[in-house]
Amino acid sequence: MAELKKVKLTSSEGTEFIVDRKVAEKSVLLKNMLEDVGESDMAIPLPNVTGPILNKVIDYCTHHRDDPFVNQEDDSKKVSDDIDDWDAEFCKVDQGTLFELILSANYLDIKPLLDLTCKTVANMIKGKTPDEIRKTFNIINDFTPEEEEHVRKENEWCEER
Amino acid sequence: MKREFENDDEIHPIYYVFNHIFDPYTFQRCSLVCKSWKKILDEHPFWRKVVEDCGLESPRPNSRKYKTYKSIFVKNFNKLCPCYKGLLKEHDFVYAVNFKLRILREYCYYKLRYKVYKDNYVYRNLVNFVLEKILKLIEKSDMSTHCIYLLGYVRDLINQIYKKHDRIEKYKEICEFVKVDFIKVVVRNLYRIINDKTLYIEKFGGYVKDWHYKIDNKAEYKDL
Repeated sequence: MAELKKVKLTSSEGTEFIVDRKVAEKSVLLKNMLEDVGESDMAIPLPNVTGPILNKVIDYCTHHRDDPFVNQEDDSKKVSDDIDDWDAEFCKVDQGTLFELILSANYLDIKPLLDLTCKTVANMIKGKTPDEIRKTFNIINDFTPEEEEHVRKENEWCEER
Repeated sequence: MKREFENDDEIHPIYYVFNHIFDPYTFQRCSLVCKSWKKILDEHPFWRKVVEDCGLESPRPNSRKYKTYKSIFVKNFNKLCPCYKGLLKEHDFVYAVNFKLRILREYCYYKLRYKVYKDNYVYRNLVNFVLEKILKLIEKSDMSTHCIYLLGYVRDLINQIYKKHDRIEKYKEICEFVKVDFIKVVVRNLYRIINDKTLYIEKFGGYVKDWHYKIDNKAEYKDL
């Protein structure tokens, strides 16, 4: 059996991760880098991704390593449903981690992971009032009462009937 | 692990999340969450997409009031809702819609007749399927949502068909038609249909003005 090619990745803190090339290539950024660099033992530095997040990203890519490639422009599946059980379990993390995963998926150009994490957050937002959203995401309301009233007035056009 | 997303150079993750939401109500609600969310949502490309889909005019930088895509959308928002105008209660309106859809269908068939695109059943089925769907949705008397959803639905429908056929080599021409003509002509004129405005089909003589229809649904039109 042919030996699987390995790739070294380094997180922002300098932690080294060794993954199968096929797993790394789920990231379009890494795929392009690997094609440009060719055969090399050099670790690829990922200064925008922390160790714990990179670990999660590798988990995701390993689980989905055999999934077909998703077209970058395919936006027909943007509706926020159809999250399978493994993916739903994967996204059961604190909101900070979820937001970091969104940024990392975008940086590494892993569209299915970006879609999954965005859909998860979108589902947490839909149907909630601004107050409920603030509570969910621990956001401080930095509007003064006057500013808030002004934004409400600005939004009157969209009052649901 | 927790990070503040206040650096102007960094795109806030919520920006990407809202690429998955096609609903002005959610945008409106979320702009009340905090100042940074409001800024992100007011400038989100969603507004540009929806303005373009509706065939509305782009904002003018020199305009005093309507400088942004959101402001253009807000200005036209109420016109996007047939329920608001009570138009769906009028039978005439359904006939007018039907008639205008027939003009769009004629335009699509015209492309076939002049061999702009190869005549085949997939092309015809595609045209008929989407236009029938639009008519059925508009005819539904219990439709209580804004037409923004209808626009979103039709765009998704056309996109799905496009994606499905794009993978098959022999349908490349159809995909080209869907991409170049169909989305532009049908989705943009949907706004005009709903608002009882004159159709505008660029490659079909511009404004389709000189037309009239009869209540018995035997529509006639001239000078196309």
